[in-house]
Amino acid sequence: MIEKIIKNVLELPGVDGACILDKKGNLLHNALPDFFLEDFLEDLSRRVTTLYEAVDENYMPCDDYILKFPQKYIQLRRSRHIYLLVAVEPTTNLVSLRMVTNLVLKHITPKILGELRAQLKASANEAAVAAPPPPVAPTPAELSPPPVPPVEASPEPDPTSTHTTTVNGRKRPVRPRPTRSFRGSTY
Amino acid sequence: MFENANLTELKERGLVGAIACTSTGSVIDATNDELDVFGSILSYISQVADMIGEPFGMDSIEEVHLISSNATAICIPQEGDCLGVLCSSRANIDEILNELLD
Repeated sequence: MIEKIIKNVLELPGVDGACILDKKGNLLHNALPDFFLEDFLEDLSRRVTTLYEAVDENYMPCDDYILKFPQKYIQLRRSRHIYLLVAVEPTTNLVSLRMVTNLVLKHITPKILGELRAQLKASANEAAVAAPPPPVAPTPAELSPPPVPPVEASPEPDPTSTHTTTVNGRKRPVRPRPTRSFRGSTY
Repeated sequence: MFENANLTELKERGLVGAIACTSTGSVIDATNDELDVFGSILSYISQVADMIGEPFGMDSIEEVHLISSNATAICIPQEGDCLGVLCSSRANIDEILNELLD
């Protein structure tokens, strides 16, 4: 849904990219060009929120800013729920840009905002799961070769034992099934 | 600083006022006395705007437009000092800035 909303902005001639931040500075959607490195986006969100708060407190509330750099213009727009940042060429029609960003701000409802936050949380969880576990440094006991025990006839495992089980040739501890109850009755 | 500009004509076209301040907030020149609050934040605005663009390879900020419902304020850094221009929302800002800065 958000892709469709942002696409109207990205299709405007001269628009390089856009991103959406929530009021806490969290990056909810990133469609900025590659030279907006992700490593710096956290600082970007903090400075944007600081700019808004400082001017609101010390001068007058302003919802819209245009930062004119020699290379690009950056439009900042604020709604009740989000900040919208759009990077454009200096030749962009700013009136058209304002019109199309009005639609973005109008369509970012609390429901859409909730979906964006859920996507953000899901992607953060995926990144945490996909990250490999940190390597464990081997202890000196592990580094030294273990002593070779004398060869003995090993007793056969007791098939009736409930403490371990063999799965794919590996022994797995058998954990007791957790107790579940519903309205006082266990199942 | 604003002596060369026809302020009367510019005010008819939407100029509310203009102020020039140093980086410390001291007023260099102003068209009226009601812009001191605006002048005091010009330097900070230009600094934060610079910090927003600098990590992404942008050069120093040229102009910052603050757009509210009934007015537009423009902050223009100039060699360490800052120029602030306040216009009504319907003013032709580019024309006013061209005449004010010439």
